[in-house]
Amino acid sequence: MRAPDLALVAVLALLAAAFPFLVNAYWLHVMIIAMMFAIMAASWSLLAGHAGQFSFGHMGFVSVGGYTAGLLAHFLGLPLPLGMLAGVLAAALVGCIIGWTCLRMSGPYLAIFTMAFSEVLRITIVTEVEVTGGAGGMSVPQLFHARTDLPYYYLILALLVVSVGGMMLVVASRWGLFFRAIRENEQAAAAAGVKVTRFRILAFAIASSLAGLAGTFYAPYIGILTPDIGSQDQMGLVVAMAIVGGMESLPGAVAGAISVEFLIQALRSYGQWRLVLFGALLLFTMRFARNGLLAPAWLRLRSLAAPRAAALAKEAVR
Amino acid sequence: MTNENTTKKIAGRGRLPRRDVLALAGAGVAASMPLFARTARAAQPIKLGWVGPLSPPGGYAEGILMKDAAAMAADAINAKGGVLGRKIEIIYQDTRGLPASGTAAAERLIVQDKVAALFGEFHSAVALAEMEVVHKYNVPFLACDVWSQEITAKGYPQVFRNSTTFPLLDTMIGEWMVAAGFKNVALLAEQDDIGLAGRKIAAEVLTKNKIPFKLYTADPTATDFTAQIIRLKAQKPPFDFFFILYAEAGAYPMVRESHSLGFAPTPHTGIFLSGGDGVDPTFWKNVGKAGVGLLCENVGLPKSGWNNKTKAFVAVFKGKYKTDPPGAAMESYDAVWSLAEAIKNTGSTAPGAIIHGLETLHWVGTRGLYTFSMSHTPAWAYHQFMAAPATILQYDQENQSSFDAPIVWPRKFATVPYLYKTPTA
Repeated sequence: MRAPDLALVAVLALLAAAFPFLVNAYWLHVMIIAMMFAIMAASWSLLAGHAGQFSFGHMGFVSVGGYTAGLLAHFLGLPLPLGMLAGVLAAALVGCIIGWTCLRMSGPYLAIFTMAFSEVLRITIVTEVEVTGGAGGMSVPQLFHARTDLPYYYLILALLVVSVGGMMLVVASRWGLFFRAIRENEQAAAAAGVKVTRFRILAFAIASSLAGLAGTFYAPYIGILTPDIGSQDQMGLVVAMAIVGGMESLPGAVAGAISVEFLIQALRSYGQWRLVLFGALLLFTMRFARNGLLAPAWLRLRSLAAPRAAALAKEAVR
Repeated sequence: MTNENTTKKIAGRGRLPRRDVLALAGAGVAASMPLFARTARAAQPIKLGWVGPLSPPGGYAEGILMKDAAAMAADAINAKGGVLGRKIEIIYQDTRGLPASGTAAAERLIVQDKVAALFGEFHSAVALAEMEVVHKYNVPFLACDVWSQEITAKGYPQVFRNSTTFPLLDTMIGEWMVAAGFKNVALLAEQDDIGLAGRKIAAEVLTKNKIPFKLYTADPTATDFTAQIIRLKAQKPPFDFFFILYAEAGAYPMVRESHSLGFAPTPHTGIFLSGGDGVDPTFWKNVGKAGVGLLCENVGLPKSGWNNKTKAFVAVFKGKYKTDPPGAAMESYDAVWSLAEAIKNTGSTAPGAIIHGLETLHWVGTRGLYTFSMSHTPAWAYHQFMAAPATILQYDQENQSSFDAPIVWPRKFATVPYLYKTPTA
C-alpha cells in the first residue's frame, strides 16, 4: 500500500472511531444501517463485479441469516452470538447449494434463477406464519441492552472492516485472479487449469455468508424481522449502491452504500421524488460511468497527487 | 542546500499533498454538514411527529389520507390559538412500510426534530419496530391504523392505540355470523399473519357456536381465484356464506370472480370482505355491481352515531379531498387532537405528562369518547381505546357510500331491522 493510501486509511479509521461522538443518535443510526448495507453491497460486488455472477437473490441470503439467528433465539433460546454464527453458516450452506445448482447458468438465466429463489424464500416466510410470524414479523431479542446504539455501531464497524478486508484479501489473492479469469472467459480459465466449478461455488458461498452476516446483525438491531428484507425492492437498493460506488471496487461499493443511504435519509422531505432521483442517478451511472461514480472519483483524487509525487521522485533522482 | 531541500521533499512523499488534504477536508466538512443536529431547541411550536407510509412498498394511498387528516387537525387547533398558547407543528416522516425505515424515521423525529410525541402508522410490523425507539427515548406514541394485538400487549407505557385490534374486530364479525344464522361457512384467508389471525378468531367463535365451516387460504400475491371459487361453488352441502379475509391486491378480483362465477353474492350464498378494502374510495370502481349485497367492516363511527365533530370533519375532508374519509383518516385526525388535549390538560409537553394526559383522557372526537384502558387483562387491552368503533355494513345499491350503506351490526348502531339481507338474483 502506498504511503498516501496508508495516511488516508488512518484518517478514515480515526473518523470512523470518532464518528459517534461527532453526530447525534439519528445519524449514528443511519450510519449503522448504511454499514450493514455496505456489507451487502460489497459482497454482491464481489460476486457480480469480480466473479461475474449476477445474482438477484442476494437479499434472500440476508433473510436466511437473519431468520436463522432469530428462529434459533426464539424457539431454542440460543444466545444471539451463537445464533448469528449459525445464520452465517446457514447462508454459506444455502449459498453453496444455490451456487452448485446454478453451475451451468450465467447472465439472465442466473439472474432469473436467483430472483426466483429469493421470491420462493420470501413467500415461504410470509406463508409460514406459525413459525416466522409471516408479514407481521418476528420479534428478535436485542443483542445489547443499552440506551445508546454505540455497541451496535462498533460491532457493525468491526464486521464491515473484517468482511471487506477479508474480501479484499481474497480479491488480491490467487482466488481473486481465478474469479476474474472465470468472469472473463470460463472455457479459457478451465483450459488454464482453473477449477471453474469449485471457484464459482466458492464465490457464491463467500458472498452469501457475508450477506447472511448482515442479516444476522439486522435482526437484533431492528428488533423485528419481516419478509420485506428479502424483497426485490431491497435487492434493487443494494444493486444501486454497488453500481453507484463501482461494481468492481469493494471500497467503492462500501462508499456507494454509505452515500446512497445517507442521501436517502437526507432527502426524506422529498418523499417519493427521492426514489425518482435515485432511479435517474442509476440510469446516469449505467450510461455514462459504468465503473460507478465513486470509484473513478477516488482514482481522480489520487491522480491529483500522482504528478506531484512523480515530480518529487524526478528531483530526488537528479 | 539543494540536498537539504531534496531530503525534505522526499520525506514529504509519505504524506498526502496539502492540496489533496484540503480537498479531502473540504469534502468531509461539506458531507457532514447535515449530520450535526441543530442544538437550539425550538421554543415556540409544539412539535408532533407523524410516521406512516407515503411511498411504496408501503400502503401509501392510505398514508397520504392519514397525513392530510393530521394536517387538518393541526390547522383547526392552530386556528383556535393552539395549545398552551403555542402552535402545533407536525413533522411528517415516510416509513415506506419497512421496519428499518420506520426506526430511522422515529429516531430522526425524536433526536433531530425533538418532537414531543409520535403518532400515526399504518403497518403493524413497522409500528412494532418504531415502538422500540420510543420506548428507548421514553417518548409517547399514539399508534393509529395498526391492528396487531402485540402492539399494546407489549405493555410499553409510552404506547397507546386509538384504532381497533384483531381480537375486537374478528370476535365481532364471528358473533354477527352466529346471530345471522348461517349454517355452512367458507372461511378464506390470505396466507399471512393478518388473514390467519383473523381466521383463527372467527373460527373459534363459529366452533363455540357449533356452526359448520371450512378453512381455506389464498396466496397474498394471487389475483386469479377462478379454480378456487369453482371448487367452493361445487361444495356439498353448499356454502351459504363466503367470508373473505383478504387485504391485498387480489381482494377485488376475488369479489369480481366470485360474482361472475355465480358463487356469491347470490340468494343462496352471502359474501363478506374483511380487511379494509370494502370501504376504500376505489371499491366501486374495482368491483362494480359485484359489490351489491356485499358485507364488510367499517372501523369509523357509523353515520348514525356521528357527533358534530364527525359531521364537521367529514364535510371539510370531502370538500378538500373529494372523497369520503376512511376510518384511518379519522384516527389520524383524532390522534392530533388527543395529544393536544393531553398536553393542555397536564399543562406540559414532558413525556411523563403527555403519557399521564393520555391515560386520563376523556375527550370526544370524531370517533366517539376517547379513553385508554389501563387494564392488562387481556394483555392487549393496555393503553387500548377499547370502545374503538367498528360496524358491519351491507351495500344494497351500486356506488353507495360506505357512510350511507345499511349497518347491520352491532345492533346499537344498526340502521336497518334485519341482520342480513339476502341478495337478489
